[in-house]
Amino acid sequence: MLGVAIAPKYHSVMADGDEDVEARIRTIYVRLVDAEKNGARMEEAAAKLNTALQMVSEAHISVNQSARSALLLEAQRIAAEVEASVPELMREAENEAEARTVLIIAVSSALVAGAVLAYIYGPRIFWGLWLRARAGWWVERRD
Amino acid sequence: MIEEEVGVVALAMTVASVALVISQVLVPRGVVEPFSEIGVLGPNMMVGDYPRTVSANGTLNLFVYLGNHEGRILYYVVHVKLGDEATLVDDATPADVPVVATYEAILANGQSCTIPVSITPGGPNGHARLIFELWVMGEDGMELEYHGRWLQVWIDIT
Repeated sequence: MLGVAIAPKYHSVMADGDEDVEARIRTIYVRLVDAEKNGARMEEAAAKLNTALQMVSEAHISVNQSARSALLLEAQRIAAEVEASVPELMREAENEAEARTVLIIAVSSALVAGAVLAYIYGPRIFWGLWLRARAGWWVERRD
Repeated sequence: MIEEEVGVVALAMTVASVALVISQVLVPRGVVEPFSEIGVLGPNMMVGDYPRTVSANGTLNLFVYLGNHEGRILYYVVHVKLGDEATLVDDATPADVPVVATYEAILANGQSCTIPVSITPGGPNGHARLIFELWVMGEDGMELEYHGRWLQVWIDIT
């Protein structure tokens, strides 16, 4: 894969306001990447951040100064909202991981207990059913 | 003797069930074969209704479709470049021609989006080639990497 530094290219084509918001979006994106690595769910945060990014793009091509400012302001608000949600996403991920550990232990214990019970009572139950199934049979003795 | 055998079989079946259930619970959320989608749609958001000619000062309205199946959040950047028959581009090397437009999207795994694209190609060219390259932002948010996916639309700029 080929890599290039991004900053200089964007500097030449974007106004300062756009660049500030976009830099912030990139910083939040990095935080989301970290949060996802820790198990956080990304769907909602990514969708919101993408909305903010599209607003910056719209602002970038907008010729109406007030519409442009409004778009940047809204993009900033959404980005801030996503940034604020990161700790909560991390907490949810931690809780989910804990719940999964508890579930694994509970299921394992239940199944091991089931295995022991099956070992102890399995033959008794099996032969009991076997005998019941053949309860009405007659056995003829031939000499 | 037979009672013991039945007990062992019951135990073996239970142990197998334990292994199966635990493996299902422990399997991480991921994808078997990660990939990204990029598509170019015509002005009516259809594949194949691309304009063939555009005036030098005219605007070409298209749509770019992006889909993320990489198993992780990604910051996509689509570079639109204007090349011609001689322009070299492949899965490993991006085209060495100027970028005429850039579009971006942040998508979580399983998400997709369609971005409206407006391009003024400029300069007459009988066999111009509009190249759409997919790049992704590095995890540090500082560096772009060519993702190896690209598309092209041939146009006649009059």
